[in-house]
Amino acid sequence: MNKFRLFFFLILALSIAAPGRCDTLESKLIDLIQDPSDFFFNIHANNEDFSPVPTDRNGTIRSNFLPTTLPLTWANITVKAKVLKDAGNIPQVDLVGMYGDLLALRAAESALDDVKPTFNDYSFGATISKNANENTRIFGGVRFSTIKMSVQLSSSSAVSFAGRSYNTFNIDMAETFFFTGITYKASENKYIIAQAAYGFKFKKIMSRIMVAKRRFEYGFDIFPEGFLVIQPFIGWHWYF
Amino acid sequence: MNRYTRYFSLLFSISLFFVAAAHAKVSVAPYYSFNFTGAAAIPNKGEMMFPINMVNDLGLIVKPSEKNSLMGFYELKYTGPGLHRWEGKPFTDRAMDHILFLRHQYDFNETYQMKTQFNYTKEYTRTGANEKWGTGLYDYGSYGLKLAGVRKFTPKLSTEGFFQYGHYNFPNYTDITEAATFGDVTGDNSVGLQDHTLLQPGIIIRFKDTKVNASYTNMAYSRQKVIYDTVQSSGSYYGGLQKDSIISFGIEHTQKIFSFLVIAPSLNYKIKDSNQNYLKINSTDATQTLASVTDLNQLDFNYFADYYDYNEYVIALPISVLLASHWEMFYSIEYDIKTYTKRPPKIGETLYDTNQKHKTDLTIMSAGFTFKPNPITRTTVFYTYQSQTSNLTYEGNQPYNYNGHVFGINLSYTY
Repeated sequence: MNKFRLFFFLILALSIAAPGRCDTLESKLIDLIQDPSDFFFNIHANNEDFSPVPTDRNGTIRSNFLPTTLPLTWANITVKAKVLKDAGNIPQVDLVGMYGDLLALRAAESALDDVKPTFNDYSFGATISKNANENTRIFGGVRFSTIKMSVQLSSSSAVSFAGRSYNTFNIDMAETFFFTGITYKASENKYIIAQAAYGFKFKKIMSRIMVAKRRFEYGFDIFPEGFLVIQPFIGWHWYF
Repeated sequence: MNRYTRYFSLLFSISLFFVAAAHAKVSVAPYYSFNFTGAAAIPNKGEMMFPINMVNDLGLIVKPSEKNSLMGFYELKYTGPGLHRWEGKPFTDRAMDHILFLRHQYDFNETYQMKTQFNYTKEYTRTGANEKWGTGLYDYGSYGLKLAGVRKFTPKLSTEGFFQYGHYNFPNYTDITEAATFGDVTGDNSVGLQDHTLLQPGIIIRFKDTKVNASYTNMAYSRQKVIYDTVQSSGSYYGGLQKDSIISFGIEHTQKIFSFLVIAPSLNYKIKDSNQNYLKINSTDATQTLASVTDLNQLDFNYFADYYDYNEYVIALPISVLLASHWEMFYSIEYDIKTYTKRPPKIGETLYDTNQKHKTDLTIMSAGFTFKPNPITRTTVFYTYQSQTSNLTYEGNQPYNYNGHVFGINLSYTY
């Protein structure tokens, strides 16, 4: 039954991961070419995880596999540390940090003299959570999230497209989010997590639904106004 | 206080509260709900759509003493493009709402109760992805206060009388029709035209599983004046300020039939009255406006008094069937009939059928299955058929006559 649910989830996610058709595909592609920052920011968001550390653990190390590490070579690591335990009316407080790097870009920088990239991808924030009952927790918090990428090509390596020559590629987006969510312990090594976030600067809404098992987690991020509205992901975590 | 400070303050206050509560005997109960709907909508006009809707609620109930309780509630809501109920709005319209309220409840005794509530709402709208959030024509912000008194006659019978005050501000709204009528309008006459103050007294009666409610709403506009087709004592075609009123009445009943079938029929009736009229000059020539031609009778125009008055009925019948401990089936049908009392339907760009009154009938039928695998999760697969007919046949970009099929899935996580 678990495999069936996974299969169903993947098929469902893939079948509706197409660019939202409420705006025409042409208008969405034009938006993507003119400003790819939001598209890459949404992929960067797959690397983040600000859900709380389990009650009986001290921290979590996490890395996202699909679609970032593979196939995009976008390596990433998230570290969560519990600084305050949930006791009585005191909530649990976790500090979280994420860092990512685009390995293909680093390899290109080493292999090719005429590619000069810069890349910054990180997030940090705090999560406050409280047990509602023995299996359910409610959490919220604030995080700062940013991605910056700049690729400079020499004039001889410039890319020609639609009659124009491009030798720079820039992405720069930073946002501060307020997020809230719920976790439910369905079984000993299975948590169901749902959360939503709102970004102050760009009024960006995003949400996530995922299942966290003993080591792996499966879910999808939802970007209602994004180029890819629904982005499935697979990650790995270790609770310590 | 900017938004960053506001949200950090909210988070800090919540944290500080928990610390303080640790040193006092205060009971605290949280509430959370996340609701996501993804669907495929197939209208008979326009392209197939994949609408997304999302609602995220966070609440906290604090009982510092036997007689006092405090509730804070925040909702973030996103309504994506799709077959909306918004009259005359394009299917591509989308909206984002922030809703916040803080309520205090005081129990005098087992019979009397008083509630005080502060509300704040901010709505952003846009018609497409190329429009930035925060620049929508109908963006609005509102704040208000609600006072309510409850009397419990018996455990099954109670009444609640309430009074609500609200202020609504539309920072981006401009009246395109007015600009076409009067030429370019600038300064104080072009801003804040939809800003208004709302006063609403009402009553709610609850008897067993039946609820009856009635209210009177008065909306007083602070800048928008009433337009006429004759020169007023002010020396212009504008008279006093616009005032709208709405009388609404509703009744709903929940009935359990056997142990597995629940029906909840409801009827709502609304009467809107406005002193605003409608005036539009039919020529697109910039010289044919009241800025350059002082006598309206020299222009080709349409004028209708009481253009915005209407009566509206909404009749709904939702049915739920409990199939097993984790499965539920539902079916619902809803009729929404809106009739303008003085407005004729538009049948051409400048033509109106004055032998009829504008009427719109909306029918929504839904059916689906809900699976509840655990106490917080509900997964619903649904089909909806939505059909609207109207005697307005000149639609432009605003659909009035259409039908559509929606197939979707709803994921809900609630504590």
